[in-house]
Amino acid sequence: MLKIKKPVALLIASFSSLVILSGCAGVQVSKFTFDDSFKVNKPMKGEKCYDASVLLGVNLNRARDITKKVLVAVDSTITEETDTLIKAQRNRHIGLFVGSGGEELSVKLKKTGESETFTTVATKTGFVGGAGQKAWSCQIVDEMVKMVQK
Amino acid sequence: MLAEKTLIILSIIILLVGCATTTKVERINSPHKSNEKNCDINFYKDTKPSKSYEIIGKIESHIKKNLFFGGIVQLEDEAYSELRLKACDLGGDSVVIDDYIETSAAEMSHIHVWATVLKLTTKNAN
Repeated sequence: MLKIKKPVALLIASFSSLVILSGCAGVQVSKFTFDDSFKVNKPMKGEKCYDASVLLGVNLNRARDITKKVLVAVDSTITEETDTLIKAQRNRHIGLFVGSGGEELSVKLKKTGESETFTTVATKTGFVGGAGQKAWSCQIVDEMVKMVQK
Repeated sequence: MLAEKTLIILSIIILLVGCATTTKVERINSPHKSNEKNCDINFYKDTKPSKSYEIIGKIESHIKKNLFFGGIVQLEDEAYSELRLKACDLGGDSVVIDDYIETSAAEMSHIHVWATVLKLTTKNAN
């Protein structure tokens, strides 16, 4: 029988609570829809960065390449891919105090012109390891814009 | 006994949460003779060499590091070391940073870098 001292048990209990309480957050589907207010390569960001979008100044194929490049760079594995939708999940990491990873990322692409692609990025955090998860949508659209402008 | 156990557990933790590097190397054109392991490499971040050169390889590397075991991963530090190693192996003498993305989440910091390895063709032209 494993005997655990009281302070250690308390530490484990509070740490588990932190992990559980952090719960789920974010959005699975972006609330942004394309309209005339979008300007090329100027991202629009939702509250807390779980949702973001941008009108990329490149064609659909290039936008898809850039999306895949950025998703891999933010340490994700692509789980689903079509012409207009790419889903990925961040790789999980064991930490000394807080692990990280597991966030679900969903990128939708819509051709709006010969060299314009409307792109939305949604982040959904999960239950397991929620304390070490974060919203990635803003950073992803920012990195996409940087790559388009190179 | 307790000290031994603690040491083993600590070693396992360090192995699990320390740092890791994943690198893909693509050789372009005919192979060149590898340089010595830590050869001199010139890095170009926002520029390219003014001398003429041959592209001999492409490198894509992802480096992650735990904040508690070495701090934050840096382009000019860990990434350059990894790129130098691979570029020397390819027989190159210069590396152009095509792109890089830095991220961090909880204890982990990451850097993903894309680079091109060059061999200057007019290096001894003077």
